[in-house]
Amino acid sequence: MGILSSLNFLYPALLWTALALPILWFVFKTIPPHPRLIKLPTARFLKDIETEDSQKDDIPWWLKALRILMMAMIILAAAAPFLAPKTDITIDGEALGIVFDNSWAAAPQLENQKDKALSLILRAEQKGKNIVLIEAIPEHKNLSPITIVTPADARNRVKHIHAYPWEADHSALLEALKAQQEKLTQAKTYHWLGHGYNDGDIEVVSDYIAEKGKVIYYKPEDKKIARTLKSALNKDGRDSYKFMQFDGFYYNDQSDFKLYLKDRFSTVLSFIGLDDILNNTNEDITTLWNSIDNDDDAVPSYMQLGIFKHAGAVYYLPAEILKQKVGVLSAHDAVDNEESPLIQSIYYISKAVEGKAPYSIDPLDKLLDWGAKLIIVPEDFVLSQKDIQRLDKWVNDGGTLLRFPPSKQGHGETIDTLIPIELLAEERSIAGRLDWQEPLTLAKIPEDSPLAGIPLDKSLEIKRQVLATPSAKDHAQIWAVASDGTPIISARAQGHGLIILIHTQAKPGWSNMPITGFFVNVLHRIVDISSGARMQISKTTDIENPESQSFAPYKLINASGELVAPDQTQAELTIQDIRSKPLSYDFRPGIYHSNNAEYIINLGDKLGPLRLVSAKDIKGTIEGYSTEVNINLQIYFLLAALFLFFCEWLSSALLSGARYKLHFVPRFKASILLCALLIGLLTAAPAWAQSRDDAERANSLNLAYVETANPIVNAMAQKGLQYVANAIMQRTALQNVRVTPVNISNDDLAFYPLLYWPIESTPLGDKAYAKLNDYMNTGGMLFVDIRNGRKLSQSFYAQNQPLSLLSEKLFIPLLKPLPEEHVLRKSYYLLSTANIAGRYDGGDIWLDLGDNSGSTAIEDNQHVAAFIIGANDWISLWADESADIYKREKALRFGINLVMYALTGTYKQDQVHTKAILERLEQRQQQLRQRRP
Amino acid sequence: MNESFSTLQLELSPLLDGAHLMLALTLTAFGLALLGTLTRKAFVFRLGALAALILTILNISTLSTTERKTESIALVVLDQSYSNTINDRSVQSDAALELISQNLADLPDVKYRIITAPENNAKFQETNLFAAIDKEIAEIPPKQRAGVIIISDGNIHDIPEDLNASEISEKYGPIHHIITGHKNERDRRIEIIKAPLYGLKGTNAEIEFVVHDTEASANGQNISVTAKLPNGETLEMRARIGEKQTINVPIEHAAANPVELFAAPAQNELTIANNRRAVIIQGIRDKLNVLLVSGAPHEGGRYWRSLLNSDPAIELVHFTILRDIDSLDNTPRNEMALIPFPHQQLFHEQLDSFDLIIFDRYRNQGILQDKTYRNIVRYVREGGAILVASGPEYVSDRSIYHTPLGQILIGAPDNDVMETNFVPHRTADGQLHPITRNIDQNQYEGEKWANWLRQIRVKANPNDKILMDGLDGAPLILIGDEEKGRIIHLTSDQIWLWARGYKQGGPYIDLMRKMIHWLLKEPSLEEGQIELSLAGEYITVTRYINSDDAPLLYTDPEGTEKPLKLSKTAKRTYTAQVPADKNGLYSFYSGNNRAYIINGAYDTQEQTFMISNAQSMEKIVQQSGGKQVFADDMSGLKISAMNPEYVRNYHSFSNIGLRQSQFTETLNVNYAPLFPAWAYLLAFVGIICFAWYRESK
Repeated sequence: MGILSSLNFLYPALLWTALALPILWFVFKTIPPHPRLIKLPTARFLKDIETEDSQKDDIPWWLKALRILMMAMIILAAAAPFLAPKTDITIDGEALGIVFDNSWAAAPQLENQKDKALSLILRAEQKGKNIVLIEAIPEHKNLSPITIVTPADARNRVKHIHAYPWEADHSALLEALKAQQEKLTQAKTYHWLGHGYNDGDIEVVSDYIAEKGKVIYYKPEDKKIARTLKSALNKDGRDSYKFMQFDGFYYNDQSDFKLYLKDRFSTVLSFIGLDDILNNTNEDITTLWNSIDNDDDAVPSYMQLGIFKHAGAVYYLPAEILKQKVGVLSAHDAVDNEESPLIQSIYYISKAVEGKAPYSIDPLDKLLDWGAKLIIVPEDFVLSQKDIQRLDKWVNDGGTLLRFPPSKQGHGETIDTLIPIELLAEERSIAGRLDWQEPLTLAKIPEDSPLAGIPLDKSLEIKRQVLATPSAKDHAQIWAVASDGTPIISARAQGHGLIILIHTQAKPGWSNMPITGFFVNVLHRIVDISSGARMQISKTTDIENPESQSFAPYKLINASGELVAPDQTQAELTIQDIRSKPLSYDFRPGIYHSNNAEYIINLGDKLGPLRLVSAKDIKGTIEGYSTEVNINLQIYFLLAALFLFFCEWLSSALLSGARYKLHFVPRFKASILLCALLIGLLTAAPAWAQSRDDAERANSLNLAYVETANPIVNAMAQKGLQYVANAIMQRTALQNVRVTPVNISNDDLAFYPLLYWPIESTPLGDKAYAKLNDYMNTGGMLFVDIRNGRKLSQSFYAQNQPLSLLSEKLFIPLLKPLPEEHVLRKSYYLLSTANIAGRYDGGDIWLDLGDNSGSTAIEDNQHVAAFIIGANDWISLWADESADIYKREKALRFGINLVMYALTGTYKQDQVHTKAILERLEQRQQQLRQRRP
Repeated sequence: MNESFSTLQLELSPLLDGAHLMLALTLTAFGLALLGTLTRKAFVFRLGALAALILTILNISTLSTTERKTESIALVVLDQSYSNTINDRSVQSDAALELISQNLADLPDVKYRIITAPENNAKFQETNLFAAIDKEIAEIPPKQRAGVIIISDGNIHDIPEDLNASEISEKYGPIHHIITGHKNERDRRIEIIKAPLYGLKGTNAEIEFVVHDTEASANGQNISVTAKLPNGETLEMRARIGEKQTINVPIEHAAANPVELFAAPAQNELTIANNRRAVIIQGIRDKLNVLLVSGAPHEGGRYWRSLLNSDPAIELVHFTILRDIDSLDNTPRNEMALIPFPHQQLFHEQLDSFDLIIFDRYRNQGILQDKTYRNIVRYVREGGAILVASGPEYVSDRSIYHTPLGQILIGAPDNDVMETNFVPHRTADGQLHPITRNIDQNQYEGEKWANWLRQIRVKANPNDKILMDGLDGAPLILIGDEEKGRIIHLTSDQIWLWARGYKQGGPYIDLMRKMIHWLLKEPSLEEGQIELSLAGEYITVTRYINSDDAPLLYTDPEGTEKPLKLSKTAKRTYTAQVPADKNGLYSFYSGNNRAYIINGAYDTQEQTFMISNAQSMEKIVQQSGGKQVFADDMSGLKISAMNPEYVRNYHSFSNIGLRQSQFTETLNVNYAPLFPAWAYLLAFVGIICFAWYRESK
């Protein structure tokens, strides 16, 4: 049995002709040898010899057998034999129903479906039944998905079924079925050749068909079920090629699966195993990219899941993706993590670039070696003359330089030529508390600006900018304009490159731009510009006036996941269409271009969450495709016949004396040429190719101290401060100075410029702490004396009870020891000793120096401390008339300085600025003179 | 409508896969080559038999498709921009459209869509017809595009330039242009070549312009150009046609500075709308220089410092008296922090560089000399500004009122210091004056702000305006003019109570801000200022003080001056409406008050070039294979559909052509093998047998 029982013929009738074969035996006649004429003079005598007809009348028996065998092969081939396991199916209607799923997921096992279909057709043929063929996606959009055909036509049709890279529209299919109901009633059994997924509403179609007859759904074997790659959002909610999602049938063992990154020639650039990757989670696949980020030659074209070649398993990437190398200039190799990242420009720049392009934060030479195409200079980076020269050359060679307001620290020594537009020396500040103007907003992006289309962010406010000289606009291009007409982004071409200046800082402070989506969009666009690529329209960022852009197909992705050229039958699509329209005949996945933008539609992104077909979707039975394979034997018989044909030909030729032929060589040469031409043609053909006494208090100066639970301390504070007050009235221009005890919980603290607190470990109420916080915030100065004479660093939080209480409820700014040059040391008297002594002289003073303590010099800082803490018990010394005169004088001077500091703030610091201000006033005077002719 | 037709295609579906097929064919070829040399007889038959065998393997099938040609779709574009509506152009356009639609309605296989562009709100801007065409045409598959017929004066501003002939033809099909307007039109216009978008206040802005005339013979002629400057002055000058002219405009406000230029019209000019051009230059203020003069350290001193220092746009120079001349201190001078204060430079040489001088509780301590005060008086009279915040020292014998400064100070000391609670209250004048009309309404509605505790009583001069009063109606904020300068007197030193949050504080920032900017002559803080707002088709004019002696006048974009009568609406609010039916600059003025508003865009391309223009479209029309026809010559025009396979230029003598659709719709497909396999094999058998027969002969 075995093989023989599964042997079938398409045209068994033809086998009868084999009966005629034996006849041939007798038909074949002899092959006469060629008469040869050999002129041999010496053999003239042979003329006279009587010749006998020694020629055989019959050809050799083996040749006859060869011929008959060849004929037998031909007859067998004509009968179209094939091996198919015998499965008996019942056909109880007038026809057999076949439903063919040929949407995207069918691509990996389309052949299985076809095999199954062919064997079903054969059974129908054997029983003389027609086929009701339902294609989920017909070949053309106007064709009916349902046809009744003869088995022979059905076979041809099935052969021509293609998979399409989109999901089948089941509701449309249902409509078509309903319209041709009468066709559907012909079959009583429907064999549904499925691909394993529910494309959406498969239930409605199956329910409808089930009304007409039995449904048998064939489901592919697990490993053949398609899986898809989808773009995923990274942790910040932006799209990134370094995050992917996998969807589809879930394997427990995926060790054999890999995610490949390939270039356009399908060369594997990098791969990662998928062992730990789960379905439907955003997976970080950065490792896939890391290995190629620094490779100059690598040009990734697409990602591929496993070895599957279908539209869902490939993910096409923008063509220029790795050429967009972004360098961020930094003095250090890595971001200095010690300082809060939220105040660093580099943080905002790298956040904006991340996921868009590979970036590196490095010193200049490293960036140049790395081959950065775009170099970003944060405002706090000081360019040296050498840097400028190197960058200048690099820009001329085609680099794109993005700058923020240049740092002034190096001014005077370097001539910064890398600025697109001439700038005024002074920065411009808008919308200060006293300014008449509102903060600037973005007014427009000129239409010819490469940034055109980026939506203007309404919440964007600019409070400081570097201002271009009004007449300078001729030389540079203005890419973005503020509400008062001043440039916000300007650019200038230089050599083959481009220099771009954003007129405000890359960190919040000058504006809120760095925290807006606008900043991200602008940087992305600049990245695109720097690589010469078309602008990439991502899934999460929007462009303005999307209606105005229409996208035409540039390359389409076919069902096998290959890029093919589009035909001219597809209308252009708007960005909304592209984002929301389902894929169909008129909208295939692929690469779409508008004038300057590109959008890549990968099938995976268009698919919803995938659902496997389950028993409740199908009213009927679900079977697997049996492992049955139809083996078409016809070709083997044909090849055998072909072989025999040549054998026979050769034999015949030889027998007829061809071996004696002399002009063998030239004929052979001609034949070789013919062959070469033929082979050439054949190989060239498959060449298909990407935020009561108030008045007294208000009208005199009050030296206030905080009343404590200890009356001795209170009396001492009152007395001590009174001495300070007397000294002030005697020595300074201040008059009417009083000493006031203050109860934090009950009194209004607004009258006191200075609050002296000889702190005791009595806790205060929550409200009191709130008032103290308020006091400090509205310009008050709280002076805490812990009166133990120790170094603060030792006694600070842990060992000192009152302080640890304070630190819990009070918002204490970051404290630092009193610097040598601090204004408190020179607000009236010059106090130069390191430790300013009270009763003790071992303690030190700490105070808050303001936010920008890190970078800017103390002289520049207009900040007045709201919180000062000392340990030297000054009130005891001030109150003690018997103390050492010299020592007490020093302490009193400190008291006067403290009061002066509270009243005049940084006044004594201004001398540093006076010279600069005078110079500037001089210039202004000249300007005014010029104006009045 | 369209007939269907069938096509038959042959298809190879080899029984062997690619590689094996190649191998088989190669071997066959070699076998053939070898045997070809050996065979003489019946070679053709052998070849025939082999061919039958190979064809069986190649498995040729037929694909018969039934298709139908779809309709092609033409676009008819009507330019409704401003330039195409002047004179008789809209009449011409409508007639052309009528004629074309009639013609198109008769074409069986061509559908058409009429689009009008630009949209109404953009008709004064630019004629972006191609943007509208591109949008519409995108919905038509390229193969179905029949062509574009444009009815326009030719002033189209987005003609694509980066496409080559075949791209144009592929994208649009033939483009035909029906030109409205007439041949040989004349127009004069003024073009602003260079105008800064902004300028520093106090400097001059340079504006360059050229007067153009389409009449070549007018070149070099001197004509009159009138310029209207931001300060309301008019300037008349001569300009040579075709030559560049420069005008310097002083930037006087840190706001909009409008400049308007008007070239005298020519005879028989098409339109004078483009003879007038306006430019608005944003004035930008340099840093504000403030000189703060404090009498002694006091609580309010910190307030002044932190207020002025917190604004980076303010450059503060502070002068404080820390030690009186009569103070008793025997500390050696080298142990004291002493600032060498540059009195001479600040109070004399460079006093004029300051925008504002603030006297904060200053008493005459003998440090500043009389000549210094006299210099300050001069400074104010020449346009400077001082703000005096007085405390008890103002009523003392050391009051600055008793110095030469007294001659300009407003509010003479009445020798009374009142130290009682009072809430600052706005006077009737104060409720009207822009400084105090609205003070920080967001936070302090009404006058729900904290009380102050001290006020100095002063005698106000009847000419001084009192904006706020305190205890028993005693003047608290007095404002006054001194020649070109301005003075504000605040008779209390306690504004800092608001800043320190005493009893919830008060609107100190807003009040200070407005006082400072009034001192600096910010136009919108001027008494009787004109407020304008443009909503819909009307400009609403609002004033809170409407003095009868200075009537309100306005000029429209065409330069016509008209009086405007305001009517009283709500309490002390006067309004009027002006129809905004012209595009350009509207200026409103009354006495020293001026206000400007721009309706729509001025100086657009649309309003610049107005003469009928056939040249702009010439190239693209030619490249697309279309034709340009003046609307005047349109009678007898016919439209026909042409097959793109046979024509390159879609026009003939009185005919304009449209492209027939090349797009087909598939109605049916049918696959069938060319011959059944057995037929090939039968052929094989037949031929081989014949070969054998021949060979046996």
